[in-house]
Amino acid sequence: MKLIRFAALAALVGMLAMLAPAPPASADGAASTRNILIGGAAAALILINHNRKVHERYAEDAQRQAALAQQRNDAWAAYTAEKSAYEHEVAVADSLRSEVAYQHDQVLGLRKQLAASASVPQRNYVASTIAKVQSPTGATQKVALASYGWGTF
Amino acid sequence: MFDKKPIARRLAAGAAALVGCALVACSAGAGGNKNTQLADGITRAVYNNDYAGVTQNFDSTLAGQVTRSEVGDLSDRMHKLGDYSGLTEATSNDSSHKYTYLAKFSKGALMVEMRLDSDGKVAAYRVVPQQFIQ
Repeated sequence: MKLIRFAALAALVGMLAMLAPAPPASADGAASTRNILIGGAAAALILINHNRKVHERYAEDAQRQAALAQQRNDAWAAYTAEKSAYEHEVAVADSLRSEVAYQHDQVLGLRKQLAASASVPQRNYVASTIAKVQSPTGATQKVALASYGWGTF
Repeated sequence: MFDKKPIARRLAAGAAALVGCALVACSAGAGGNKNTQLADGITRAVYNNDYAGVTQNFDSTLAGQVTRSEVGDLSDRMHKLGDYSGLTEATSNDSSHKYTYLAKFSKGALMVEMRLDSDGKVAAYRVVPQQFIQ
C-alpha cells in the first residue's frame, strides 16, 4: 500500500509539473528535471502494475494449486476410503472363507465320527439289567443290576 | 417143548418200544437240551478263559464285540465263585429265542442270559450275579 501511495504521489507530482509554465530562461534544466520525474512516475506505475499482475498470477496459481490440492486431497481421501472399504471387504471375505472352511472341516469330522460309530460295534460288556430282588421286608422289587457279557436283550 | 421164541420176540418188541419212546422223548426235548448245552459250552469256555470257545457259536456281530480282556475279566469273576459244576435252565421263550440259566459253582451261582438269532447263533450272552436274583 505504501508503494502504491508513493507511486500515486509521484504520478501526481509529475502531472503538476507538466501543467506548470516553463520559465523562459533556464528552460532546458527544468524540462530535463520534469522529464526525469515523469519517467520515474511511469516506471513506478509500470513496476506497480507488473507487481500486481505477478501477485495476481501468483494468487491465481496459488488458488489453482489450492484447488488442485483440494481435488488431490479429495481424490486421495476417496481413494483411501475406497481402499479401506475394499480391504474391509477382503477381510470379510477372508473371514467368511475361513468360517466356511471351518464348517466344512466340522462336517467332515462329524461324517467320519458317524461312519466310525456305525461301523464299530457298541461296547456294552458291563451293562445294567433289571431284575427282581427281595427286600428285607420280604417284598420283591425291580432293581437295576450290573451284568457282564455281550449283546443286548 | 417149551418154545422160547415168542417170549424173545415179545421182549425184543418191548425193548424196541422203550427205545422208541426214549427217542421220541429225546427228540421232543432236543431243542432245550441243545440250547442248554450251548449255554453250558459258552459258560465253560468263559470259565476256562477260552476266547475261541466263547466266540465260536456267536454270530458275527456279537463275536466282533468280544475282547480277550473281557473274557478274562468274566473268567476271573466266575473263578471267585469256585469250581463250575454246570447249569440248569430257569426260563425259556422259544418265540423270542431268549433263555435263562442258573450256573452253579462250588461257592455260589450266576444267572446266565442267552438270546439266539434266527440262524441259531448266539446273539447275546450275559451273566448276572446270582445273589440278587429271585
